[in-house]
Amino acid sequence: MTLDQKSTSSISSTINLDKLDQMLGLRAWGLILYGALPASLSLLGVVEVKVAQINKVVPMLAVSILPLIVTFLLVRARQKEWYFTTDYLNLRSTITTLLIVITATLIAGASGIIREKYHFSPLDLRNQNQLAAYAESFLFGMASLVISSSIFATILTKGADLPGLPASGFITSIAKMRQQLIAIQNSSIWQRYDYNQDTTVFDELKQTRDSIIKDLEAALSQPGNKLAKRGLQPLRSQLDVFARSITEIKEGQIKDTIEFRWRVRFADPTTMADGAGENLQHERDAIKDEIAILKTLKNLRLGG
Amino acid sequence: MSDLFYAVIALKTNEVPAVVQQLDALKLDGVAAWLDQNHATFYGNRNEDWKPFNGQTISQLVNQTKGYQTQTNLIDQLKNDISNVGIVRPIRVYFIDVFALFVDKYIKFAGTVDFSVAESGQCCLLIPSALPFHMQDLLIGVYCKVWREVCNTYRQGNLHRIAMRVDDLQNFRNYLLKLFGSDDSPSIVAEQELSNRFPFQTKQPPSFARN
Repeated sequence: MTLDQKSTSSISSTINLDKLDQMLGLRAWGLILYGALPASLSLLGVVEVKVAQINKVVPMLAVSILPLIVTFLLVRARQKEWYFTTDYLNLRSTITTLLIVITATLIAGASGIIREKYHFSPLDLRNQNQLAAYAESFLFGMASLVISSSIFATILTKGADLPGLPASGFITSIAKMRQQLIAIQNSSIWQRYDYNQDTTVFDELKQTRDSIIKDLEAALSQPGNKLAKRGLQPLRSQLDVFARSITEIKEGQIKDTIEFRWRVRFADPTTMADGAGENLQHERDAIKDEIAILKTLKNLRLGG
Repeated sequence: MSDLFYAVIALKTNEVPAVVQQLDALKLDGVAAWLDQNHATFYGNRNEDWKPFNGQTISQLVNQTKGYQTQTNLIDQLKNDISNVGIVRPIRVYFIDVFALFVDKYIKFAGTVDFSVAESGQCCLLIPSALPFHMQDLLIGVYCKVWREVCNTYRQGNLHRIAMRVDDLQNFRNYLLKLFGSDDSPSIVAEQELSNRFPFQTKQPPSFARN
């Protein structure tokens, strides 16, 4: 394997792992355990769920839907904080919620076996007793979500550093970064630039970028959180390109050159005059990678 | 010292066929054929894409150290009738491709700024050394017609140059820097960045001399 092949395969594995993390919520795997934990109370046998008739599916779903929705919303709120962007937020929240429900159901079923309320038998969906056992386990799992929701709404919002979840220092850093990057995304630089009026805009953007880099370094210096830190690596180079663009524009020094360089990098090409369009397009082609990165930075979904 | 502002006046790929036609019309058949065969090596879509020597652009050749700052976009922003010629006022140094002398816009431009550039600017005409001598002479003749005053003052000793090899260009570049600026000093923006980042003043080093 050549060096190029190695680096290519390494990049593709990074992309895959990062994407899997975003889709499945891998960095916060502990959430499933904390969510399913209250289902273990079924071992005590203090509270029991008794299904009299298995054919009452609608009432069963009606009872389940509220804890399910609340849990989903709370999981979503946590997941939003733990990831820098909101890409795949709904997907990973749904997957995590479903895994919590399945795990809670399995724990409730296993407790029933331990307490000899249920016993193992081959899967037979026509067997009413077996179906009732599944339904009872499922309903107990759902009921346990009420306690899980309380845990999510209290303990997990207090910034406690729990195993299997991103550290509170890391979350604080990415929250600051997100806020500042939203400020960059909302800057007027993406829509218009006037040499005489916007005299400080480049300096302000540069300062904001420098501040993000400081928070990024603080986030990356947190112990552990390898997966979460991997996801932030591309941001560093994107912000470097952004800073280089700003410096390049400022270095133009002359009004016409500064405005030209701004138009090449930031202006919407569809709104340019026909005469200027061709030259600008050639300039844009010459630095198309830089422009693509600027566009990516602008379009990062930060939930702002 | 602030950067020396330079601009590149060169042919673009889409202008080559028209120039080849013009060269044919002027009975410069050999030059036309040479340009037609070799243009892909030298030209691109922008002035800045021109690679006069060793497959390197002017930017690559000139910006090996600090001291120069491209303002070629101002040439691109010139209107065809050169009515907005005032925008090129900050440009100090022109690097001119000999084949750009056959483009109408640049002929008009030369006619407008020739006198002021001859007196207060610096022109560097670049001719590929691969061209046979008689063709080089023909093209220099065209240059002296289009940039008449620049050519005259060049002969009288003003600081203009005709470069045929990369060393000529480097010599011109470095000579201008020695005359007007310092190649090791940071640009104005870089200086601002440094003073923002390190706002403190350098203290006098401690003296170990005994009284």
